Amino acid sequence: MVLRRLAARRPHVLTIAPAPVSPDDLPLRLAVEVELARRRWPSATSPADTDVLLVLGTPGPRLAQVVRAVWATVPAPRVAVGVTTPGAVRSVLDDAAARLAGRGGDTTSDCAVQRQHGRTADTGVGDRADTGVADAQMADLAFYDRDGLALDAVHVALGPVLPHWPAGLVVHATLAGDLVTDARAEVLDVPATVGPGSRGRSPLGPDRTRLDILTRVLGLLGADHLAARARDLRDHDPEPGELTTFGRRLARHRPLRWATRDIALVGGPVEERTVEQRVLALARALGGSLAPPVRPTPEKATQAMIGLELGAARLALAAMDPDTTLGAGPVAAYAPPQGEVTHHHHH
Amino acid sequence: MAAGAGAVTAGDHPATPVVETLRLLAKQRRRTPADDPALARIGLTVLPVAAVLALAVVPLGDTAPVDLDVGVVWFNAMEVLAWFAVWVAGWGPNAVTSLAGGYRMLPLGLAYELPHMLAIITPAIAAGSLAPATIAAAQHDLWYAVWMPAAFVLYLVSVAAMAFWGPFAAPLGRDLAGGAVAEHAGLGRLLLHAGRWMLLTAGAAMAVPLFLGGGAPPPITGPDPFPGLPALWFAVKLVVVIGLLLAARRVVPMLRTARFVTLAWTVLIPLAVAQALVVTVVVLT
Repeated sequence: MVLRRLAARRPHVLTIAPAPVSPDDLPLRLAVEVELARRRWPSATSPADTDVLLVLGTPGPRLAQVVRAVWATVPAPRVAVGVTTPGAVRSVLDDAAARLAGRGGDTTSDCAVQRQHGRTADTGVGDRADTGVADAQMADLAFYDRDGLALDAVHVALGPVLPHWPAGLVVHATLAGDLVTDARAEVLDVPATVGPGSRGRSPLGPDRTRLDILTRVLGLLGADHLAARARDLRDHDPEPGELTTFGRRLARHRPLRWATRDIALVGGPVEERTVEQRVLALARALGGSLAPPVRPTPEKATQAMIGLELGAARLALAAMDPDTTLGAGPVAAYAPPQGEVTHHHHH
Repeated sequence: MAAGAGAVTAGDHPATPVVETLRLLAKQRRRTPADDPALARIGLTVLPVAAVLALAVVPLGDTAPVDLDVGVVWFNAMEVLAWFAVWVAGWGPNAVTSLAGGYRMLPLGLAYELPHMLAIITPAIAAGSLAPATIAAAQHDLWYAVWMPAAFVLYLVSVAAMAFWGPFAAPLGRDLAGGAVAEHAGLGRLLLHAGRWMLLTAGAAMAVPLFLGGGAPPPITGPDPFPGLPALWFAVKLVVVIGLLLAARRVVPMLRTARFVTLAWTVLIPLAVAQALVVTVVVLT
């Protein structure tokens, strides 16, 4: 039991949040991120890495389905908790830690968890399609990758449970190897809206929006020190001088520029033409009291992923940071074609 | 055991690796639909085994646990197993992120392996031997890190890449939800993370006989203040090399494999060839 308590001292937390449609969603996400950083609890990279599943706000029916599918694949010992108000975050996380350490939680639920877990291998493809870890299901359609090789196409739903991924977004993608050959956006429980929506207006304000985007881009790049700094500046009231200093530090960071180079943002989702320029523009504008950065619709951002390698596509999406409150979809999940197989031939 | 710290980030408590290891040991293993558990298990086991086999020929002080005449070649052969291990560990679970992560190990290998082989063969040319202990002994008046600095730097870069660590962590990238390790929980995850740290340590350990004079004191200190303690000098140098590798992570973010392949074939390989050429010409004349 001592060992179990020790092992529970640093639980990895997988947070699942709905698209921030309600005004309470964004403050809640920020409160959770602040509290997790204060406790130094790492965020889980995947369901397999998860100890605590933390559901923010009130998920709609589609997201609730995803939560259930993800939970079925989380290995024991594990705890699932939900939080709906920023004030409750501390007590909810305290409670989760106690249950994980075997105190206050009932041991019978652990047995139930294990029995349930034993069945996860049986969960079908449809169940897993939305978890971002869908099976590599090969369709018989051949696609041509950047070298002109005919590859099997994999139809996969990316998101909404991926690190540094826009809340509630699912990208229904077709992959040839690691190349995104087709992508369509869907925001779970938020169908596409007609009209201007809230384009470019984040309740966070211009600089905090920039820092929020930069936190995700830097996090994806594994630049943890810089990401932590960006999050810190976002969550605490910084002096304007601090912001410009950090912005200049990022803009001058040659390895960072080199790592983000050569990713085009096709279709004009944002003013900048490449990810490198987008990150530079976000960094340079920090502390400059400029207009908020443009955040594209999920459809436009997803279109820009087509033609990119998966890692580059992830960086592009994080840098564009689509406004998921605008909604997208719904998109019918890919169903394997029945009957005759069609081949596209290269001429 | 402390090597199992997969999720350790800067500013963490010193006990974090222990906590992470216990956490993974307590965790249930898990499977995915239509997976190939045997394949994944082979990959997960091969990685730490390869690291131990590579470390076996490194002189920890004066003599290696296994003193091979062709130690340098053996060391290189064992590291190459890591390609296979990560690839297969990513393939086993039959999931997209995991498979894409495993496949990233192949371009990574294509990028780092040539500069790496040239970097380890350069000191061997200078010393005229493939035995690490002989190479270390040949540096009694000048460390190879000083005499062939480009080879030393290339070696450190390729060691980080070989352990798919820091800037070269793309196979386990966060953009792929953990890549090759995304679907592994419990012991499997521990083996992969521990194997990776062991590989990094083995690579750092080999830098000591190849470039830093092995268990001998630095040539500039005059009389040895700790005579007869080659293991101590070895340990000090090992800590310095690991420190250098850890610092690299702070400076350089994760590189997409396409970026690293470009760098390798336009800069690193020509540099490695030039360094080997210079050393060969000097040795022959």
